[in-house]
Amino acid sequence: MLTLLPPVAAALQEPFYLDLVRKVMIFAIAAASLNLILGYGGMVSFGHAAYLGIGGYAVGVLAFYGTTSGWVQWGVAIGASALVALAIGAVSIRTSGIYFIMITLAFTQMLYYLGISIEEYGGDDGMRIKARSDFSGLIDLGDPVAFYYLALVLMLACLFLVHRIANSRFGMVLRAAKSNEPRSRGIGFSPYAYRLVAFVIAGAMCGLAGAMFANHTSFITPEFMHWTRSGEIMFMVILGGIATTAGPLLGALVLLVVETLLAGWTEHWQAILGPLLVLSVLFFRRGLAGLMPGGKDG
Amino acid sequence: MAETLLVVRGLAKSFGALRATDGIDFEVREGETHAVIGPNGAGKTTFIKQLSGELRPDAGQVRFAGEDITALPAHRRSRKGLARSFQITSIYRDFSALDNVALAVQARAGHSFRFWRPAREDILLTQPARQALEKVGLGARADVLAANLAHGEQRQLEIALALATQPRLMLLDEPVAGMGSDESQRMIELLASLKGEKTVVLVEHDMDAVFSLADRISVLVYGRIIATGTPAEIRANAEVRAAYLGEDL
Ligand SMILES: Nc1ncnc2c1ncn2[C@@H]1O[C@H](COP(=O)(O)OP(=O)(O)O)[C@@H](O)[C@H]1O
Ligand SMILES: [Mg+2]
Repeated sequence: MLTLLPPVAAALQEPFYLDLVRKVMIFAIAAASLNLILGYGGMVSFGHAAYLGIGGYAVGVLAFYGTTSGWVQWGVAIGASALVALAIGAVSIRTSGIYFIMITLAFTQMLYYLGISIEEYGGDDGMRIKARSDFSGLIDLGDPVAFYYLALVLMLACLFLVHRIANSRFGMVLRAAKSNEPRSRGIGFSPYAYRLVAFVIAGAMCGLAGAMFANHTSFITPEFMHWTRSGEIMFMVILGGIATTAGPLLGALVLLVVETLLAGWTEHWQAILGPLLVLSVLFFRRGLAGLMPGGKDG
Repeated sequence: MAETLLVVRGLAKSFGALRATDGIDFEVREGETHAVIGPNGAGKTTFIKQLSGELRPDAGQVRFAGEDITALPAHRRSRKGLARSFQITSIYRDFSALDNVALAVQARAGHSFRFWRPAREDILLTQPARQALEKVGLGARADVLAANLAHGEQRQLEIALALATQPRLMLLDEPVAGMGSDESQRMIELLASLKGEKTVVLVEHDMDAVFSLADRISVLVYGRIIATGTPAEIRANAEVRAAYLGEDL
């Protein structure tokens, strides 16, 4: 279905839909990465937008200094996100519950204020990115259709990757530690290292989404890392269905479409969206994926 | 005489002013089933937790297979061959019975930093897991969600989890507790089938179970072991009779 959208949108002369769905797919990647640690690992990270920001700034800042190679930009986006996730994870995973939520949030707020304070990169106004990432002429991200298909391929790859990881030996240890940590210790697993590796993988994957998002908007701003952004990604995961393969895509799709519709209808859309989200969580406990046949995979 | 697998010296643990274990000396021989009995609150679970590594003792030493393991955390002890079942059932409730046990097999198989192949299709995990389920009588219940198993079955699953780690010593904390008579009979048969294959420390209130299964019995009262001996010796012990006044040994 998603494969067919570009020709249909072209025929209808509605490039807007292409743009919206591309954004949906980029956020599906971010949500899928959070689903790995939140859904399967039980780590309620309330700072996942940090990696969206790091990925975005990697692209923007390198472009600012004249490095437009997508290989370099996206590589740095993923690598830097992984490193930051390693540092944040190493500290926060020693805690649990509300402390874990607060620490991940605090780290992301630090990065947010760092983004605001660096005037060179536009401070809180953000910064335009003059050229999109350049992949040796292989893919032209300036072409909306080419970018759309790249996003589609990368999103499917990320959803599949998370699915494989979640069902691998590694994933089973991660899920077991969420289910019953004392039991895991009792049979010989110390969850820390497994959780940390999952946290790094999730950070790296969300860094990729950040690099894509910067190209999508041609703009970077500290807003990428705002805590409401982290909350949005978390809602996508919960709404779509925690610990499900397709949930992150469904959650991103519904949340962003509803957001767009409400925003076109009234200025006070956020006041309506909040209660809607609460209701949706109350009514579909297992998320949208739970409503679909075969959607509640383990 | 059989070798001594576990040696405990002077093990002590206090909660505030309460001396839950108060200088315990204790030995387990390779191959025996060694029961630990005592009234409620005597410190049996606290003792087991210090053996499994969940609790750090204030003083004393635990030696396992000749090695001082007093400072090792629970997961390291488990890797050395100490497995434990919990007094309050502790299983992965949202996993199937088979997934529960497969995970214990996986723990035994070395590190789990393997990210790609589906664990559920890995015959190296599922086959030993199915064997352990057969052994405890849950062969036909492999695909049932652990939360949906009957209470007795969950207790059996707990034993299967311990067995699947291929332990040298099993620490079982009241495996028969809270069971109906049919269920407890089945559990006693299961534990009997382990005799000779596994070394077991069995904490239990059910005296039928204790006297039919144990090679030796230690009696724990107020954090101290007041007697150790064969079932016949314990039955005849005056101090033990006093501690269990009114109870029929
Ligand atoms: N974590 C704890 N904090 C404080 N007191 C405890 C704790 N665990 C056990 N106790 C106390 O230690 C004593 C021994 O408990 P326990 O080892 O569970 O006994 P048993 O298993 O023999 O019934 C009891 O009086 C109990 O209330
Ligand atoms: Mg107890």
